[in-house]
Amino acid sequence: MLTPALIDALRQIVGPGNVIEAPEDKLVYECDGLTMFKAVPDIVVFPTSTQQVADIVRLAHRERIPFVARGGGTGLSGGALAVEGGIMIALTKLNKILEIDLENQRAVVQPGVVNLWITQAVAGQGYYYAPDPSSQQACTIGGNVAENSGGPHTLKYGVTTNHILGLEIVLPDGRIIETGGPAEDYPGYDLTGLMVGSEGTLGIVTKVVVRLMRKTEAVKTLMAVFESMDDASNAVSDVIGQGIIPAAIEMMDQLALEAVEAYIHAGYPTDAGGVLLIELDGLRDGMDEMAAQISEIARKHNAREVRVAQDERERELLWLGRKRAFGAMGRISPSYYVQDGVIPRTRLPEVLRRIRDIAARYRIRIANVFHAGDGNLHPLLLFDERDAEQRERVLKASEEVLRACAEVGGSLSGEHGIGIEKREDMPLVFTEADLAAMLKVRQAFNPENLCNPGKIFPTPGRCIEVGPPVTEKVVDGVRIERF
Amino acid sequence: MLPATTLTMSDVATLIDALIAIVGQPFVRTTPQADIYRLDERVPWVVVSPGTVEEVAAVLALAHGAELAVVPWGGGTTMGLGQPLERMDIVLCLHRLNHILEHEPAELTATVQAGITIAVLQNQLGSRGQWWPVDPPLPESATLGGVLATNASGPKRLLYGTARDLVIGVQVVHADGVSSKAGGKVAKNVTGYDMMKLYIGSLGTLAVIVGATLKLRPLPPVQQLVWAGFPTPVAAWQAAQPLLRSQLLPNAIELVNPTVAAFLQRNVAGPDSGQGWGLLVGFDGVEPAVARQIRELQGMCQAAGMTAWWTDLDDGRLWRALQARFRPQGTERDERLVLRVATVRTEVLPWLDGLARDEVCGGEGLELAARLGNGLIFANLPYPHDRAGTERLMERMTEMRAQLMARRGYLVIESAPVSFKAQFDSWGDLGPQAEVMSALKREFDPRRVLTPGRLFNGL
Repeated sequence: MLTPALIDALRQIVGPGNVIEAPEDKLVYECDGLTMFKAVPDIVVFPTSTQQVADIVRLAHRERIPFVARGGGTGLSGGALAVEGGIMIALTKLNKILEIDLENQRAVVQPGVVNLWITQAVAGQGYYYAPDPSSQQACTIGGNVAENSGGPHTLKYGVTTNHILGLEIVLPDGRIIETGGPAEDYPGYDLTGLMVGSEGTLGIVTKVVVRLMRKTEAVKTLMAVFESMDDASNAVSDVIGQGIIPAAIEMMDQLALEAVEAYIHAGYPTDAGGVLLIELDGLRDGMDEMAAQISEIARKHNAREVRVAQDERERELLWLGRKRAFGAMGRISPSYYVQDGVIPRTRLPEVLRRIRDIAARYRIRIANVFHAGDGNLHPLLLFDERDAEQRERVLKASEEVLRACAEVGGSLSGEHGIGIEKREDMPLVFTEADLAAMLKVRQAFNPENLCNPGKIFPTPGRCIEVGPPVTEKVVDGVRIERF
Repeated sequence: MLPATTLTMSDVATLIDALIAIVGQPFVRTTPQADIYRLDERVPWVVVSPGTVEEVAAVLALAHGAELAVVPWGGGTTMGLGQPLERMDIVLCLHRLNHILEHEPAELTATVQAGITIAVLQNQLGSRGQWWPVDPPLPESATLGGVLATNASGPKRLLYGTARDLVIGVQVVHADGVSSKAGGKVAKNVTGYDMMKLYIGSLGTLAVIVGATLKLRPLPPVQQLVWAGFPTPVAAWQAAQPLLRSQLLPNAIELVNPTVAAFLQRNVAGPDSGQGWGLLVGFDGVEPAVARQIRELQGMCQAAGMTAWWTDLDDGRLWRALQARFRPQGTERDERLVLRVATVRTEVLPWLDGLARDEVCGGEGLELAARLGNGLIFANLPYPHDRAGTERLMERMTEMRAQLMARRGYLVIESAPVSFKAQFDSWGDLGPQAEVMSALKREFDPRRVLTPGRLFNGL
């Protein structure tokens, strides 16, 4: 589909140094953070301006060539996978912070800006950019917008969509539009809100207006050690029930703790059923009392130990264990596969029991890290990816885990997106009518379906099945190689 | 009275019979009972009040088949927002869908039907120590569905955000009578498109909202409102600057001009010393934090030359009175013009000051309230009685709109007589993104039966 003439035209648009064509050079771009699935784009281009992005898209649209945007390549659902080949538009060279306006608490950035760079640019003056996914040192804002990324602080501060005020978008036919802006409540439909979380299927974002937050005056971190996850979970419900909204509440189960201790030696007890990490932030006044209240609640739920970080160093140490939890899995397993289901907080004990049962039946270990603040569960399925039989078992087990989340009124994805990974699972939570309404949106923006095809929606004809078959992953007639 | 769709008397009779078959006779009203639903100089043929989502769907399916224009109606508090309707055949009242379907305090969520009033909703949530942190005008009448359709908000948006930040799931019925849902019951969700963002603020032009799942917060233990009086808007604004830059956490910062301040003093509460501009600031949380913030604010206000200071105010009553002032109802809509000016924080003062002194807009009758932290200014002025006055006003507003839009702001009409809106567009030019909005309208309502004409370009 990409003739030499078209390749030449692309070289003309971005410059010969900003094109990757050779197969060995394209290898990096055959997958994103979801390394299980690979698909090679026909070409990768690196535009350096909005106009170039628009010109590339216009060409693709005219020639009916599919295209997919890519940021930091950290996505965990295959959102940047070129499932139908075509043009991969890498936005990493659009990486400037264009404007910082502290008085109005706004910044304008290009999509290739790394998430953490924004906070780093304004931290000195006492501001920050709130959405802080764990990959923030590598993921880009454009990707954050596509996936409506979260992080540990979403209970109090929301997700990416709550911090995006405006966008510049190249539509799938190459037109450039601006939505929203630095002011509030713009007239018309909220196209900005619609774009966030649309996983790159409605257009390509080339500029983002973000909200900056003022740093809070004080922060206090507590760790509580419990005999069981049930107790930890009930303690969280109790804290919320008493009207306290911590900035973050994180939970780790025994298996996760084992891995972390083997790696970091943060002082976590490896024989505990579960550990809670709670962070309060806000004004100093009343914070000590709130922390004391939380300690009391924890002990009421049989906490064996409650530790309050006395200074910044202690606080960082407590958090280190949690932040390295995924990486720590390497100590106890060659590979892991992480799920991203969301469940109502109060159903956690029940879902954990089901996960334990699934783990036993499929003979794999599953560690659990849980954003208890917002119900986002990250089951880490441990296995050896070199063993094809184990891979099969892991994929089947993860299907059942997802189903368990859907069945308790939860959702398929809290922050990683549906991408290609979970698209056949959409019927677990949405009816045909639900999906049809969303497809109307896609039809309005991307009627030819050239912009990141093969993502989010189940393959046609599969809608009525409940749950996809796990053994075959042939996507739209294109064989997706499974490592 | 402008006619609705051309219907013969026998068409109307057939329509009424069909609707009675769906909802039952007590819930179908026609003239003269329907006449109170007068809107944009139109009166509907029939007003129908379904009791279930299935009935809503059946009504819409019927209307869709006959290509009759349907206007969803909640509390009717903001029906004047937007361009005059092209057609209105059926008013669809949602007030019978008024239950809280689920309230999970430990989850901080509630799933609620669209027809419940905000006051009843907050009351019921309050009995379990929680609230939905959106404070729109006229909560005794405004319904959840209406608040979502108009994206109505209040002063506390400064701290809590607006409906788009606080709705995690939605159920709608489409123009053709098919119902669908989006989002879910959990706050962190990227499963399919964020349809909530699309429906919220869509003014009933894309689908009828019948329910939503809301993000809640605990009711704060303490809530306080303070009033600082200043001789000029500059002084008040100068008091607010250190507050906005600080790490303090006000839930509202509102600046009102002397006309509004006097009204609030007369009718609700407020310092009784002198005229002047009123800086109203709200705080909530635990007692020591609220007390300390009030102390610090007092220092800032003193430094800026305040002339009055009062802390013992009923914040609920005061905010409600203020907000009601900028939401004319009934015949008042023909006598007032309410504008919303949006800009960034740092440009609020020049606009506020400018409006107060403006040759055309300014004067005794002008009422101003500015949401300082959000860059929003509401202006409520008497509608000119004469043609020349109206033309001067339109010219001035055209200028203001152009100046605002040049700096990524905007000016919209919140409320005005129909004749004014026929000549001066409520929304302004939305630019190239309007084409995408038109495409969405075509997808969701190809027959243009849902609240046609409200947005722009006859959308």
